[in-house]
Amino acid sequence: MISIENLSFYYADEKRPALNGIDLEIGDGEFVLVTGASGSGKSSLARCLNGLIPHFYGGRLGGRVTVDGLDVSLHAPKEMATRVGMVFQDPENQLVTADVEREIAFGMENLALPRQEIAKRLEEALDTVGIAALRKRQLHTLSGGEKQKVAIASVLALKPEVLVLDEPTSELDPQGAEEVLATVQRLNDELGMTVVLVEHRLERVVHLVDRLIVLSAGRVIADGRPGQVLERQYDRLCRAGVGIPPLIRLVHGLQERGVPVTGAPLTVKEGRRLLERVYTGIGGFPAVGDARGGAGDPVIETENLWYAYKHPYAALKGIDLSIGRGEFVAVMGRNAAGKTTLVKHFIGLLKPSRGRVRVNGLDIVKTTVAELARHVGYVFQDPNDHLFAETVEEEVATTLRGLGFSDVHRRVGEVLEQFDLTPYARQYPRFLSGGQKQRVALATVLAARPQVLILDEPTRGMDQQLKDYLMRFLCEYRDGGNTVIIVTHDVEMVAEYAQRVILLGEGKIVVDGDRRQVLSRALLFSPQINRVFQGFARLGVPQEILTPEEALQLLRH
Amino acid sequence: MSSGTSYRYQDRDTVVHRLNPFAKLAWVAAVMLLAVIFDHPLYLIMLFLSTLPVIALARAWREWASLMRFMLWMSLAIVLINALVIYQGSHVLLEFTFEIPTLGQPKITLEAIAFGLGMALRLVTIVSAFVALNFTVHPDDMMQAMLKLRLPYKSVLATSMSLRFFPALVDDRERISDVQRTRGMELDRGGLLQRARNGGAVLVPLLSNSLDRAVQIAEAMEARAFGAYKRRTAFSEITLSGWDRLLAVAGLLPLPVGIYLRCLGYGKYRYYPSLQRLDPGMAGWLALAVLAALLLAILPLAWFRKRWQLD
Amino acid sequence: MGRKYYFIILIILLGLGIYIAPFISLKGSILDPNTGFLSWGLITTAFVCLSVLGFYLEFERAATGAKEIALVAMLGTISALSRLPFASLMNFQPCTFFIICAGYVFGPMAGFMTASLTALVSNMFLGQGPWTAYQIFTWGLVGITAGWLRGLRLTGRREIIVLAVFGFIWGWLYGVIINLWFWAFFVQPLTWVTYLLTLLNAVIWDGSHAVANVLFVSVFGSRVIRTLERFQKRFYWKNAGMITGAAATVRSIGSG
Repeated sequence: MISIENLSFYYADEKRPALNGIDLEIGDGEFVLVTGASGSGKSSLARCLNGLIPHFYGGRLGGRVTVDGLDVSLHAPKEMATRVGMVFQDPENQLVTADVEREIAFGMENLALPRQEIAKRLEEALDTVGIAALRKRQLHTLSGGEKQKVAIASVLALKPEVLVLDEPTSELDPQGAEEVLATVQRLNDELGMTVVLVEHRLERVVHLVDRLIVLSAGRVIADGRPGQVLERQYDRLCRAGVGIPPLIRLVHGLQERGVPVTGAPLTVKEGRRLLERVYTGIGGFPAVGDARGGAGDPVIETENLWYAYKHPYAALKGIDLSIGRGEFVAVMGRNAAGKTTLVKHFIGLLKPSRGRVRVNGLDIVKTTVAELARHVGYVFQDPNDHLFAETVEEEVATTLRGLGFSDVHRRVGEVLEQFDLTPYARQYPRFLSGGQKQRVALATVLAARPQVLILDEPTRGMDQQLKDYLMRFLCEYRDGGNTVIIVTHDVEMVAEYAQRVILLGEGKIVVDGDRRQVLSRALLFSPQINRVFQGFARLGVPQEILTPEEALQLLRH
Repeated sequence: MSSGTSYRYQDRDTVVHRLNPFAKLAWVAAVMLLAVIFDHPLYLIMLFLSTLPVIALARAWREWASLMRFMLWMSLAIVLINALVIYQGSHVLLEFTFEIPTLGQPKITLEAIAFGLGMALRLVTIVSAFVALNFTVHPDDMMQAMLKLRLPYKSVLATSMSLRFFPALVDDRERISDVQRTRGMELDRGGLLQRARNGGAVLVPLLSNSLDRAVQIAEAMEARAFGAYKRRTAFSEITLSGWDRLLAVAGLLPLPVGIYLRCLGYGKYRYYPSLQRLDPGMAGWLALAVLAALLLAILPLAWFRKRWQLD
Repeated sequence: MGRKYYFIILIILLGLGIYIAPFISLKGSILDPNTGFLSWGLITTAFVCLSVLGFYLEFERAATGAKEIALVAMLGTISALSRLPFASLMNFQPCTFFIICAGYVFGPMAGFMTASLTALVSNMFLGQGPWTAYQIFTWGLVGITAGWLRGLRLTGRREIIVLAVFGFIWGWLYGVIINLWFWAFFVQPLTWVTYLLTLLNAVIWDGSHAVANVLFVSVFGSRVIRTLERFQKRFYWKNAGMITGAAATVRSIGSG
């Protein structure tokens, strides 16, 4: 049992508390989801459970956290390891050995268990997580999801009573995430293990858990059964920047319109059951159409584009496409489908093995990356990769100078103003918050005022507030006659904001068309609302519905 | 520029690759030390030749040849240095007319060149022997061997972690280079100073990323009880079968035998003032043959072991 | 602190003793470097290997936990990684610079381990040999002595100038030490003249090494050092503690 009494925590040199007066009891066998916006303290809370706070991080701790009767402020993580197993966000950075077996044995070796015991527990751990087939594999050959499962197995081998997972899926693609979550759910269901899962993407996990705890600014603002919390505390969660699953948003919208629905459906199945009645017998649904205009002149054109990192394994196989001014394009597909490979050609980071790519009429083979960068901005997935200067100001100025602009000072001022970064102009970029770093990264790219903006997985790991901010910005930017291309797995985001979707598979274009055409009636790539409405086909409900807002509009006539 | 981001190790399935790392370590140590304690050209030639079958069986000819091309230059340097400063030989090939203080009148003698050649042979023998390690033992196995040898654990762990994260840091560097290129930095253009500056634009973010990585790794290690006990179990240590032990002993055996022979006066050679007769005499040839047989014994043993395991 | 220094100073003194042995006349004695199969080359190599082992044991004792190990693993990896593109450039490489920074900021043992990893890991790509031990030893001394510079409490321009001079000296000194194995094994007799000639043979290497150190220190020494120091402050926190007193006190701190 975990008991937290009046827990407060300040990181070293911080004046604001990361955790502020938290009282919680978590019973044995519970599956608890802890959520909240970035900086709400959810990761800090997780680190209090095994003593990483305060033993590893320093800072000042108040109150008491006990797990299984042990006070964490008196017991270091290495002692807590047999009570609390902790799995971290980045699968890459928590595995220290070369292969799966050694990795799982690592913790047990640290505990100085006898060899036979290690051998026995190793087998158990492999079987429990279902990775016996991977046992001899080298870690670097595993996918992110598989690595995360190895990480889980390696802590399970220490026989903890509690499993704490700190955003275990935020670095994974949807399939990997699903596999990991299924594993965690099984541990809770079948072994009765207490699980504390920290996650900000509710729609992925909320149906799996018994209890939802929402943090904001270091305090618990909601705690209870997930359905109840989402239904009764809807507004409060919105204000705290928690991303509400689309289905709940739809139900809430209906209630606001006075439609008599009660409950908070957490799965597509529950959603259909609840909403069927609402959409039955209304009839005469209006056609769903997009008011957005067509594309302007082409800015990016590819002709029979082939690319191979290593001959003869082609990553791109004959891509033909044309992207016009003013388009908002999402490039989607499984891992290794060639998404990033494709968009890297648009700024010349990769040059075609065969075929041709033109950007604003310039052949990328004959143009340097620096020249193309004046036409095309490229935002990489991790904003940290963009940051190397000593100040925010200098960070932006470096790009401008590199790209050969003359009025650097004025442009820096403008772009910092645009992204609300003026107060941070002289700060060290890497010490800013996640959202601020993202804005700095955007500013360095957009200072050159490119007409095309490419973003690689921009929303991965972002909380709702930051996502909303980014998307609002991108829409505005697009409306100014520019082109936005995002590479993403985030179906809900695409459903809401993109206009055209290019789906890649095995290096080829599988579908390229309007988002409705691509995202509706698909299995893997359908947004939640669409999957609900797929069940209402016989009611005459249009099948192109993708978002809660559209679903609400159906009832408006 | 992206050269050299793959190990020297070549993943092949040969008798030599399958040999356990201790046998190879022992054998290479034996060859290296014998090459240092013998200076008789015939002994050095024998040592050099005995490395060749190993390289042939490991199918590492191409890598070996490219290494040897580089060694040619080193050998030339050895011959030159020796020829230029040692005037003890009696067969003068070239005599200079001027005089260098403290050294006297410089001259190049046959003996000095012969000595240089002998020493060059010593170098290529050592390098050639190390090929057997570099190209056939995977770095991870090397680390496991170091652990088994009871080398300080934390240092070995740090080294194997470094090997483990090396590919990730290579990816990091590629990505950061891409970012900097999109910001107008041309990484492989410009003068030395410009390149160094640009290199810094990659190094600094790479460094910051890696330090963040270090925090995460350390956190994950502590969460798995790292440092809980002074003595940890070594579960994943390599286990040695009887054959493996036998092979390791067989690999090292030439060394004590060689030292014994050297104590008896075999393998000694006088270069100055005039070259000694090369022929070591009946007993000398016999000693040479025994040593060569011992050095090569590891190969049939390795082959037997492979057969044994297949049955 | 104290014990570590005694150990290192002992090693350096012993090393110096062995180093000058060939230059003083010991003809006929058992220590005569030019006769007997217990050659001077083997003695130096044994000494180098043993002192490296000694340094590892020191690290074993000094590194208290996962933090230090993970830290040096990352520093060493970057250093090894940055050596590879420069492998064909006559010892013009940033590793020595990097080892200096690591030792300077994180202390002698971190400097030594960074050096050790630089040699071991980069040689997994470039080839191991007897030189590996000498590289670990020599670069290790660079890292250790760089750690001692911390005591000078340098700041600003002076810091960079001192480090650049330090790097310049080590560029040459590195050659003076690393060439020993070549000299001892492949050149005879072991005299001042043959030694100087061996060094002369490598003068381009050592010169470009010294220049590279000065260049790297002056171009981004301060950036790298500041990056490391920022991290050090965060990683090795000092003001840990408990908020004592009643719950009310905590709350008041929180809201105020």
